[in-house]
Amino acid sequence: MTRSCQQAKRSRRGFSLLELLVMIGVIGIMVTIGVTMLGKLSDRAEATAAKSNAQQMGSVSASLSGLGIAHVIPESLGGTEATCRLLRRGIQIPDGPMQGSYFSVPGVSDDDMPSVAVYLDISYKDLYVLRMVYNASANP
Amino acid sequence: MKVFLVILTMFVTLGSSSAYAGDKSGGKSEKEGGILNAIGEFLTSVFGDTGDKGDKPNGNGNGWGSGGNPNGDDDDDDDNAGTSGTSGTSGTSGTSGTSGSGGTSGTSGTSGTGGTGAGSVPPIQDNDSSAEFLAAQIAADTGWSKEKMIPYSTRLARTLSQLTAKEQAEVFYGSGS
Repeated sequence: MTRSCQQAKRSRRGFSLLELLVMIGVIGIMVTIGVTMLGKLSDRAEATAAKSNAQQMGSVSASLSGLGIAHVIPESLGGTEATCRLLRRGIQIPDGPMQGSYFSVPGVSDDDMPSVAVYLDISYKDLYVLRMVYNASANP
Repeated sequence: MKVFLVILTMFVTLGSSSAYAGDKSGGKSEKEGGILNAIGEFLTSVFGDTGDKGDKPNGNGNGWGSGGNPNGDDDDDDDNAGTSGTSGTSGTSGTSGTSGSGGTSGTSGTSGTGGTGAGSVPPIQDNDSSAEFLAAQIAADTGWSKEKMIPYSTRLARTLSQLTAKEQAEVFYGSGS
């Protein structure tokens, strides 16, 4: 009788050490998986934003080259990154029917610029319409 | 004793999960700190980065071209021509030297050569020399002849000349320069 009472008290006292250890282990595993997934999501979001910005850069670059505005900076002076920085700053059309129009792709930080430039290639096919071309299949 | 064991187990669990998170980060050095860095990055992405990341490498010199500084003597031919300004690797052009005062035959100081702008790139202006410089750069990159690139580089020089020297440096090297 006394022994059974003691056992009953012991069972009501709380969690055993083993249970605590298992619980902590499970929480640790869940936290690890969550953090890993968060990191992957963050990377994917950054890549998507970079692709979107690169597409805009390519589009503006095509428009400018169509208007005869030279803007692609040589590789040795910065290449696509420098050209992206130039487009971020903006270019005003000096003459012609589009005179005064302003072309720019704002909102891309210097830190993000390399990841944007990865998706852009310089098209040297036509010397007179050098422009940046969006390359979706680029590996960052 | 039990409490100690529980605390120890917590540390071991967190440590192993940190190592796991660090390994899964794909070898990116900034993420190898594990769980704490991952949490930090998450918080940064949510609340923005207010910390000081330190200075970026600065590829530009900060020299100023100094002008000639002639001192004309009054009585002989010893007037020294001003030394030409050293070419600043960055910054504004040097001021030209003023002529010697009062020297009868003293040669006036030669004008200092201006600074060459940020880094090794001179400020691009809407002129032939800038166009030729750009053409040479493109030709070196592509392997084409410089003459072939002159029409394009002339237009590029015109575009870039809309920017100030500082803005050009920002375009070429980023705002960290």
